[in-house]
Amino acid sequence: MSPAADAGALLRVEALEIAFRVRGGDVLATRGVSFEVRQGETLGLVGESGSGKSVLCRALLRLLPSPPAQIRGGRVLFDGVDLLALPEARMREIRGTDIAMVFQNPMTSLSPVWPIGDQVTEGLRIHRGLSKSAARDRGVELLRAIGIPDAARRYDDHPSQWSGGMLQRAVIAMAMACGPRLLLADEPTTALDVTIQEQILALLADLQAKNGMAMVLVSHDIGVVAETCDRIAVMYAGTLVETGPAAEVLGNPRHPYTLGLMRSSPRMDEHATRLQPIPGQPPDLARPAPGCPFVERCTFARDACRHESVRLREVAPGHASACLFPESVV
Amino acid sequence: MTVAAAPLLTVRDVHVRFAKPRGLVDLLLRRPASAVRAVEGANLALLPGETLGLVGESGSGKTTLGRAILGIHRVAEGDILYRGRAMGDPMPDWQQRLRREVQMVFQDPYSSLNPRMTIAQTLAEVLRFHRVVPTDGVDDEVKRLLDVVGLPQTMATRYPRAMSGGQRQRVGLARALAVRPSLLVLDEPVAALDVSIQAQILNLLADLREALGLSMLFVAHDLSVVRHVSDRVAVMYRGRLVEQGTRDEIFTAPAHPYTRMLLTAVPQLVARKRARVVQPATEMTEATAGGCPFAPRCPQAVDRCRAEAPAEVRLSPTHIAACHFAGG
Amino acid sequence: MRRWSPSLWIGIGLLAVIVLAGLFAPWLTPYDPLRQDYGAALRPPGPGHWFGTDSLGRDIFTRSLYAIRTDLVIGFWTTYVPMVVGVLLGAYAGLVRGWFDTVLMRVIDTALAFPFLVLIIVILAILGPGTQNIYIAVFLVGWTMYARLARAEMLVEGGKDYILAARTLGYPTSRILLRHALPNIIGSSIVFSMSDFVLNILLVSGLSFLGLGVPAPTPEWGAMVAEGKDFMQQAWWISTLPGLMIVVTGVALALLGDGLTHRLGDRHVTGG
Ligand SMILES: Nc1ncnc2c1ncn2[C@@H]1O[C@H](COP(=O)(O)OP(=O)(O)OP(=O)(O)O)[C@@H](O)[C@H]1O
Ligand SMILES: Nc1ncnc2c1ncn2[C@@H]1O[C@H](COP(=O)(O)OP(=O)(O)O)[C@@H](O)[C@H]1O
Ligand code: SF4
Ligand code: SF4
Ligand SMILES: [Mg+2]
Ligand SMILES: [Mg+2]
Repeated sequence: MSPAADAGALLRVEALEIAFRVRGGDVLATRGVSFEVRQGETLGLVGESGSGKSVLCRALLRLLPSPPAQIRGGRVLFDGVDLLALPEARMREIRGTDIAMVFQNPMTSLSPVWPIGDQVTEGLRIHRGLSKSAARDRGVELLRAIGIPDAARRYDDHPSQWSGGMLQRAVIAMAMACGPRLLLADEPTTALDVTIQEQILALLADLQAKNGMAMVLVSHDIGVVAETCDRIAVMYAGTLVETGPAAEVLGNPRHPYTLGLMRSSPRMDEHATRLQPIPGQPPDLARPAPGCPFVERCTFARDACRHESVRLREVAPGHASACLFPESVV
Repeated sequence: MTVAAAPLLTVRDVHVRFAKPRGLVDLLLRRPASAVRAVEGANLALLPGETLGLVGESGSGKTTLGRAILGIHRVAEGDILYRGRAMGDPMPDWQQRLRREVQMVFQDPYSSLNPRMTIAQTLAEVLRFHRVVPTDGVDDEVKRLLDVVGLPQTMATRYPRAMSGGQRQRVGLARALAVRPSLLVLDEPVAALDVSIQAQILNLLADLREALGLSMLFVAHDLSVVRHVSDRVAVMYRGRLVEQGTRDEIFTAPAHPYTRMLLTAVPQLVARKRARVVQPATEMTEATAGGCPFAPRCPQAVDRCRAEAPAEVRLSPTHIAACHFAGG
Repeated sequence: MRRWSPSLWIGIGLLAVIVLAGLFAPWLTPYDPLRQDYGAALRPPGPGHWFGTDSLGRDIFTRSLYAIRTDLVIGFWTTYVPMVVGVLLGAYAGLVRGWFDTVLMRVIDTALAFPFLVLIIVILAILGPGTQNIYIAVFLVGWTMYARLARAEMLVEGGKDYILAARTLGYPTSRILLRHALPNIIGSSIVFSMSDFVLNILLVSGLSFLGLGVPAPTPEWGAMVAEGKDFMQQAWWISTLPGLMIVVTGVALALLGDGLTHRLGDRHVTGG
């Protein structure tokens, strides 16, 4: 990355290595993952199921269960401070205030037994010491900001009374309550309908523009990140295989996996009747082989791919690919 | 409509309702039992070899309609005819025949297989039970089925937990194909899968349709998915079919505002950080009784829409839409 | 392919040891389970009496062995018969729902509205005392627990698509119930049966103490545990061995049940 880019980095992840100790060996969930998110920017993290997106997000907040999770190396610099080295008490403060997270399933992100409003403002009372009535006023404001009609009355509703889309809004409001500088959204729309997905993405973009916060938006759908993100990072089998500005990555993909993801997505803008799937399946993370992790499924693979080690290398300013032969990808 | 071929499946004004559970308070107050109207007056026809995409948001009644066709849910009103004969016809062996001719593939590849049976056991049970092949041919037929759905033979002895979502979905498909059905109801068969795997399954379905001459009712919540497999598309909103047409009609000339909403909601593969306006969370607003059910969310709604339910407008022999302004 | 799970082996092994010990009790010990010997009362465990003697000087080890005969029969009637009946009824109700389910739930709710013991004593008052009537009484109440448990599990399992798939393939209800659903839902009932077995043995001994069940000198674990309670300070050993026997038998039966579940799931493996 260019030094100029470093200056504005809010979050900088360096060579993060996470493993799960399981019976029959270690699962390497992320291997040498490095990226950065600048102030006010949205980074889209895409990759298929099991590629390590959720593990990565949770690791940033130190939310992984340990054991079995183990951080084997690397640093997570937030505002220049290594989160991995902080005492747990300090980390607890950062969670929810400076960095907040939205999870995939809105139905299980809220407790079914408490009023939604109280759950949304819980962070304000804990971290900001707001009184119950002050929190309520702020909570109603928050619910209004996320587009809940009649917010004052619905503050006391229970989760079962709201639809999935509304609950996900509430979860977002909860994350936004303390005005975080970084929001980690782990597949916030995967459990929702396309129409509701559109509303939620609009909401996130709107909140981000208003508060100038940075966001990491995780999705397995490359279309979702295409529409919302400034930059994209493509993840495969625990490694980042391509990073760069959204327009650049989508317009000029330089890794066969990115290209494969794009080709296999059903599209509305061209008359395709047959999709082009990526053949095969992702490799077993418990048995990492030397060489490029994508080699078994890659149509561009050559002999060198099997043993030469791959790492992200810049192919254009700000655009990096982990393919040994990025020029041949078309 | 050209009545060249007799339809394989006819759904005629079908209603499906679920009784809402009544609490103790309701019983004591003698409140009348109310019902969720999951499907209201659905009309469909499916020709042999044809694929119909059924699209709508979650809760719109797609699964319910699909299951009603399988006889899992009771039809409260209307008829479902298979090869011109009512599904409930008392003809001897008719039920048994239906169970073989109409099959279903489920959405969730994780719960749709018995966790205690290997893949070979699951398939062999179907083959034996329905006597699809003679007993000594069962093993070979299992092998053939795995081949058909593109699974390696080594998977035969695996338990579902040791397979990926895409592989399990292939097993689900093999189980449905084992009885050699003519009609396949697929309930969001790729919704739980990653795009790269989703494309594999969609292509497999297209190939099978070619090879076996299957008719398919393909349920999805995402229009972009049905575009690749359907000859015709039906759009469902809150239990009603609001638009039906050929694939081209729906994708190039959508007539119902809801269809247009679904179309624009599909994320595109073009980097464009759209300027967005926060839309309110309208999905809970109730439509006024007697009006158009879509009115609370419809960008084109006028007063008439809230007062008067739109009738179906026929735009072409194959294209109908239920909107006051569908005609022009 | 795994056919015989370790739990099945261990369960069978343990149970075989217990049954054989019961059968061959007269050859395994020189003492008479009933003969009292005041000279040898309350002896701690030692060379002559491995597990000590009780307040009447009877050898605990001997009595524990002879008690196997009584207690396995009690366990069978008070735990496993209710379990089989309850699980089948509950699972069936959970699968088919409808009126059968409604009726069954009403019956169960009514039965569970009364305290367990009170209900049993009322039934015994009607039927009159005697071991057989105890079995009947415990059965009449006990199956409801299993039915409720199995029904609850079945409601969840029945919503899963593989059960639906079996239905769309036209499999008969009995096949869906026995081959597909039961192996996946019976686990919790088996776990429950373990503690149920222990409690039932103690319950029967309690009833015997009231003069409603097994008559006094007959060796029976529950009664021995109850007797030992009074001597806890001076002679801890009186309850220890019979207590252990109850638990070990419960565990053995549960392991066996767990193993059988796996077998049930794999039963239609032919040539696979
Ligand atoms: N608690 C755990 N124990 C062992 N392995 C784990 C654990 N959690 C995750 N993994 C493994 O780590 C890898 C990455 O998982 P992760 O959940 O991050 O994937 P993901 O990219 O978020 O996928 P999805 O799209 O399904 O959410 C997978 O191989 C997974 O099996
Ligand atoms: N077994 C059921 N009992 C009660 N209501 C049901 C049942 N199944 C579906 N419904 C209701 O029927 C409506 C349509 O549901 P469904 O067919 O599952 O929609 P879709 O498949 O389009 O998401 C929803 O309101 C749903 O809550
Ligand atoms: S390094 Fe080789 S195998 Fe890996 S993506 Fe590039 S061409 Fe394909
Ligand atoms: S009838 Fe009115 S409210 Fe209904 S879809 Fe048409 S324009 Fe919208
Ligand atoms: Mg995830
Ligand atoms: Mg559905």
